[in-house]
Amino acid sequence: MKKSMLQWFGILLASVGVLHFSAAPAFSLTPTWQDEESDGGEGSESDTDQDEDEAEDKDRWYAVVGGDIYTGTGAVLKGATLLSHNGRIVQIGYNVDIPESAEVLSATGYRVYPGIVAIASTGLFGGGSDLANSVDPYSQGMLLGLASGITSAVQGGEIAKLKRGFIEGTVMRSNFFQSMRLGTNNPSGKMQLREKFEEASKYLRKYRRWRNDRSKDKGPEPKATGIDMGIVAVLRGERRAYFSESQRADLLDIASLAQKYGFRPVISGGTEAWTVADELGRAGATVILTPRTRNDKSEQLVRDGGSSIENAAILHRSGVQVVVRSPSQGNSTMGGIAGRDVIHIPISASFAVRGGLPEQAALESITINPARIAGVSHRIGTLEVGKDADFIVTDGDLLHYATFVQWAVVDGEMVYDKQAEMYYAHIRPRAEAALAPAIKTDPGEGEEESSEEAGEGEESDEDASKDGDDEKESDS
Amino acid sequence: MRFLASLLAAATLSSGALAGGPVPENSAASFLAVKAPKVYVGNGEVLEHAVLLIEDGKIITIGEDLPIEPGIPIMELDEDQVIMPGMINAYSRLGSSDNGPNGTNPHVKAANGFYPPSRISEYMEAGIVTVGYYPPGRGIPGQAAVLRTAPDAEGSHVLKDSAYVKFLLRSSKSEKDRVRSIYEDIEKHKEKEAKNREKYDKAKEKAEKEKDKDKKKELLKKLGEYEPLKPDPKVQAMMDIQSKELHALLSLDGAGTYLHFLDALGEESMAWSLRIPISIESDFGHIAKKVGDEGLRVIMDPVISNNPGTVQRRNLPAEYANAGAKLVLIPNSDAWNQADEWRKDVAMMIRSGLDADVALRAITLEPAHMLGLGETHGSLEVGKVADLLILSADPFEAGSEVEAVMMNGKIVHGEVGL
Repeated sequence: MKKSMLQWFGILLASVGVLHFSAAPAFSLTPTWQDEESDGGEGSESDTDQDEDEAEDKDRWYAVVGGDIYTGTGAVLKGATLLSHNGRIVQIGYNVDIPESAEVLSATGYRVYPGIVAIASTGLFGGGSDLANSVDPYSQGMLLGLASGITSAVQGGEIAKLKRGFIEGTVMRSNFFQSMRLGTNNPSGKMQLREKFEEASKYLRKYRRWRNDRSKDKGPEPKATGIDMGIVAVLRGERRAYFSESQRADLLDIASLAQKYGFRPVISGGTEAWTVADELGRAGATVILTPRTRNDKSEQLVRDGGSSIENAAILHRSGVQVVVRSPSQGNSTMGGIAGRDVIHIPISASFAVRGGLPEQAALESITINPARIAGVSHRIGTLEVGKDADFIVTDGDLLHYATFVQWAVVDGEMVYDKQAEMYYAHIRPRAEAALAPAIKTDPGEGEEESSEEAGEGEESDEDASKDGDDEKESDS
Repeated sequence: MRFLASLLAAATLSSGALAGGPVPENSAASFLAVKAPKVYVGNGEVLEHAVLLIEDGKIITIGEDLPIEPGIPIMELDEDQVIMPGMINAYSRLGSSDNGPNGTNPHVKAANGFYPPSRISEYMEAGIVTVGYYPPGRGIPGQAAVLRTAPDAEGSHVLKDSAYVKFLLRSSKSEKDRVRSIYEDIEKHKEKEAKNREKYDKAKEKAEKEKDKDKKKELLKKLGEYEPLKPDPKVQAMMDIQSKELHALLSLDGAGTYLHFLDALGEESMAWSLRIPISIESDFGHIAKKVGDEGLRVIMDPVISNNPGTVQRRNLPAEYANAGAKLVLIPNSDAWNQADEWRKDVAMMIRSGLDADVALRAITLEPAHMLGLGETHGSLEVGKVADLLILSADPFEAGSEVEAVMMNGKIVHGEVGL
């Protein structure tokens, strides 16, 4: 009993981990569902925990200054400042007052994007299932993931952050997908699924009637025997129904099922989705696709079919949300410059751009759209005030093949610096001195020296006068 | 200061001599003076033309150019011979397997499973006088013993049956729960104890209320004084861990595992050191600062490793020492015939940047502290046990051989003329 209680506390604290940092600032934008979760009998206790944590945790300010900020919402702020406090974004814009204790990253000439969200991955976290207890925050996979711009990824039903060097608060959510087996060329399988939806829908109606009944003799709670509670969760909107289908006929079935029972399906694959884009759009579907998929259409079909490089573009035009994933989910081609694995998601998205997808939509397809279907879009996916300070700084267009991620920041902590790691440091090395910020380097030998050197370099080489204030902060 | 001590020692000697004429043979036998051209004390000091005065196996005086009272046997070393403290391997199985059951057994003692291997003397001949012998197995396999590589007068090798309790940790929920279970089991015992106490108090209260005086007396006598429940040995060991009486040694498989351990431990109390196995590729550089800031004692192998995925060479033991960790080095191999390689491997580390004083401490005084022998072993300071090696050259010089080994003030290997 005691043990399970403790564990439950752990889960509770982890799930509202963001609250630890959020209570102090007056502009805290804590989403309501978190408040609900910390309510109840244990509410008071978790509150005190929060306060303690806050007392221990000194204010952490992190600012990225001078970069072109691609917020991911469509807005681009050239040469702007992003300020985060204890891991959350508190300001984006111009003339931002930066506290003296802030760590400052000078990003003039660079671009700032929201971190990429990988909707499917393996090997980025070192650990296996149960990432909260098994993540290896120093694994090679995590380093490579960050180097490719991924700051959050889905692995085995969990979505977690690639927070190098940290294990607390990395897992954001789990069990947000409910896998559905539709059964291609299997009419009875499709019928069974429909029946399950019908039963679940009936049960839910009964349950809601019972719950809303205020009379004293309303009888017992309706029994859920034989009901697929996973489908009930889908109908309640707690999870997204996840289909792995690619053929036109199956996609149409999903669309009709979704419209009949009122849920928004997630379709992985969707090779022929472009042929039924309007239907999928009306059903509110999200399609997870790989733009480079190649499939010829069935010879028996008269109508359109097979794969199309325009798939993502056509779907986008019809109002379908598109999520781009890599052809392969592992990171096996380690050290490659452009491959088909999970560390080349931007390259995959750029193939969708080649097929006609607007660049903004392509950016969304690897940031906010995957965050939405994983149910974490209130925290990550775009750069907005109140969201987590998870961003990457690149030396060019994120979707361009020559672009490298220079820095990655997760929860307002620098977790990747291209020049400090061995992998890509030698390829088009950063023009140092003027641009190098006085940041925390990898703990190891000579840490103090290197930061001092960087500081000196900045002072002596600094050409512009406008960053005078920032320099002071970065030295401190 | 040391000189003064020597004078005092000399004074006591001469008074004895005055009283009884020539020093009686039996008492003189407990004294021994060693004259050495060079002595590495082990605390960073190096003495030239040094004299060690040993009484009953303990060092009572050490200093440069001290006078020696006539009548005390003198062991005079050759011009190029060097003395260093006997080496201590804090983490060894003495060549036997470390496979064993997976469980939570902090009360089990490795000493109980120790049977002296026939080649144990070979470790001694290589200069290893003391060994921390850890129990085999995973999870929390039990407590390490402190063994001597030469038997004592009773023929026993065991100096101490509890040095540290070993934890073999991994990153998983079940392994983290193992750490948490220590404190949960203690809680359970305390609850049981509280209930027991309550029961006793109630019975006593009832007895006190008894009106009949004789009956009351009888009842109270029957109840007697309250005796606390005795925790079973496992829980007792857990309580010892909690009270820091028992020191933990956490064996890690990666830098991330240490973060998971800290996460599992939370606010609970424990005192620990780390076993950090260095292999060809090690990611332990990531936590060097964290461990160094805490001033933890770390047991490492004298190995230069690569930064993972790269060919960037790193001297992790040196990095840890520079970061503030107390470095303990162990031989690269547990095999008896590899014990000779130990000083050579450490010399390699010195060549690639490890401080030589730190290196010497890492095979003598620091492992002594690791085994809880810091006050009595590990260096050649006054009051400590006379465990020393007579080498043909400086400890980390190429070709430096162990020519003789002294344990408890007695030569147990090699020959030195008196």
